[in-house]
Amino acid sequence: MHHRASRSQAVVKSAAMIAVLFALPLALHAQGRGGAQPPATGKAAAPVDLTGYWVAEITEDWRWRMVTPAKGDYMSVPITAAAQKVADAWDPAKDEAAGEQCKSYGAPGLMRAPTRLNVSWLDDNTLKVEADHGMQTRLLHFGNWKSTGAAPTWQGESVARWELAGRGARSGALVINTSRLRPGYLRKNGVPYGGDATMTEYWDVMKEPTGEQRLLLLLVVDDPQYLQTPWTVPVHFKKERDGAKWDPQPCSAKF
Amino acid sequence: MRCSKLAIIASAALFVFLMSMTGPASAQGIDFSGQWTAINQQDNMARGPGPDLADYTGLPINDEARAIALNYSSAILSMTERGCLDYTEDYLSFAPHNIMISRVDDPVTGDVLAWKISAGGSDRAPIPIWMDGRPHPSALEPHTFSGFTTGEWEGSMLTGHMTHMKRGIVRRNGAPLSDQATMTLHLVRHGDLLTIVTITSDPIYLDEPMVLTGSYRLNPRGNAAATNPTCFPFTELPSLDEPGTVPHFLPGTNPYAQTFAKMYNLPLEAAHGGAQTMYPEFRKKLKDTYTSPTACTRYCCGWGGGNPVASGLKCVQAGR
Repeated sequence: MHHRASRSQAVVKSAAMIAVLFALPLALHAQGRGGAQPPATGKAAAPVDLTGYWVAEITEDWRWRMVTPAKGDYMSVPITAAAQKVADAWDPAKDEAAGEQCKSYGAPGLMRAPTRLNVSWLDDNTLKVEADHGMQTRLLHFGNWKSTGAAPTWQGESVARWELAGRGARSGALVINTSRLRPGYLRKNGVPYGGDATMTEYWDVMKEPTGEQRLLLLLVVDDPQYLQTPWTVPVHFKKERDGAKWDPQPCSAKF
Repeated sequence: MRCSKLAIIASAALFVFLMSMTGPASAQGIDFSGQWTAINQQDNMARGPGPDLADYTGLPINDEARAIALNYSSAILSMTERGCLDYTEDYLSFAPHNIMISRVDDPVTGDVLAWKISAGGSDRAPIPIWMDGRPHPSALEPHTFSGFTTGEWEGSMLTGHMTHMKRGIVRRNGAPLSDQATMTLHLVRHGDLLTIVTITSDPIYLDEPMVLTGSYRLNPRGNAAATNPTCFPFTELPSLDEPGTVPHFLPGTNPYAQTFAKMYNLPLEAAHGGAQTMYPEFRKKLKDTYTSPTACTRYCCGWGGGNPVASGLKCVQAGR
């Protein structure tokens, strides 16, 4: 009897030892992800590497993205009657004369433009996205970033976070919420968005069997003033080896 | 006493261990099943009423593909044996339809055998993405309207690799795709939004992979059928009553070859596509020659989600 009890004690002891051995590193790792440690920076927590040069592949909406479409062409955009009124009054010469030639280069227009992007870390919690089209720069802020309350700008203010594919996963998407946009155009031909417009973006990296990498962006533009429903459009970029084709061009209201 | 203490320690340690395991395990996969409404807020005209004839903008087609596209007459769909030419696997990439995605479970093990993308209620066959590790068939096996697709998880992205595709089109105006084509599919879900990306390679007709995207919104009230009658041929032209008629344009005789280019002030080089037209630097070729049309004269409104005219817009649609 005594012999059987000590044997079962030994079995339980061994099981406990094995379980502790397995659990300890995982518990320590979990602590490293949170717990007493300071929260990881946007850069440290990045599940994917977005840095580098990316080129837009314009395979959809070509006639509306690659060139300036005709005045009054709103195909595919769920505009309101108020938006139509604004768009019907579009006058690119007037925009240029007023120094407003960048109206179609605000974040909602820019991300669908025929552009190259150069993505880099400005600091541990700021991802910088430069576009050669219109020479624009977006700053995506991670962490507890707070608005400075400055006047709205073409690129607005963007708060970013990582959406992991699972707890502790090393893959995932970038989610960006942009607000405080200076009113501008969704399209070169004056289809407007207003000052209350917001844009949510989901950035996913796609790795192809050929070794190519692509970036899928799903843009969701919401505007209570000028859109009947959110404008939801995906766009895609291909990774380039370097910046050899980087070609900064200033804003143009006409072309 | 000592034994029960040890048992408690063991249980606690096992609990911590098992809980730690649940995170990474749940990283594998996401549920795509359900009814998905196509959003169609880009290329709405191409997906809905259809693209203009000889509009190949943004397609990375080669010279041979362009020649075939210019020979194309849509009346060819009236032929019994060619009635389904436009409705092969990659129609998913540019069709306007809502879809249903269902999970196919192994009835014995409960494992996921496949994710099946429905036909969307029209023409195209359903596409199963096999997840059970089965190999692709021999290259000599027949090519079907569903193709053959195996899938893998990349984080929460489902990636499918399709082979055994049928000869079809890449745009609904006859730009061709060969039966040597292969397609990678990426399914990406964020909340109620799904994006399906297709990357099509074709050694015969494409100079570069063609990337197309379509977005969908989860719709609990959707009613896209899991399957539907396959594409069926129908007669449109009396001339087909003559045996041996094959609707087409001989090289250099397509009366619509330049219509689209002229309507939108585009150089023919841009309107007729090619890989170079996809990239920003192509705009340099357009800068000194392009002027935007003075007014929109047709298909000026239209978007997925409702009737634009009913919402108070004054629209020019279909030339009216």
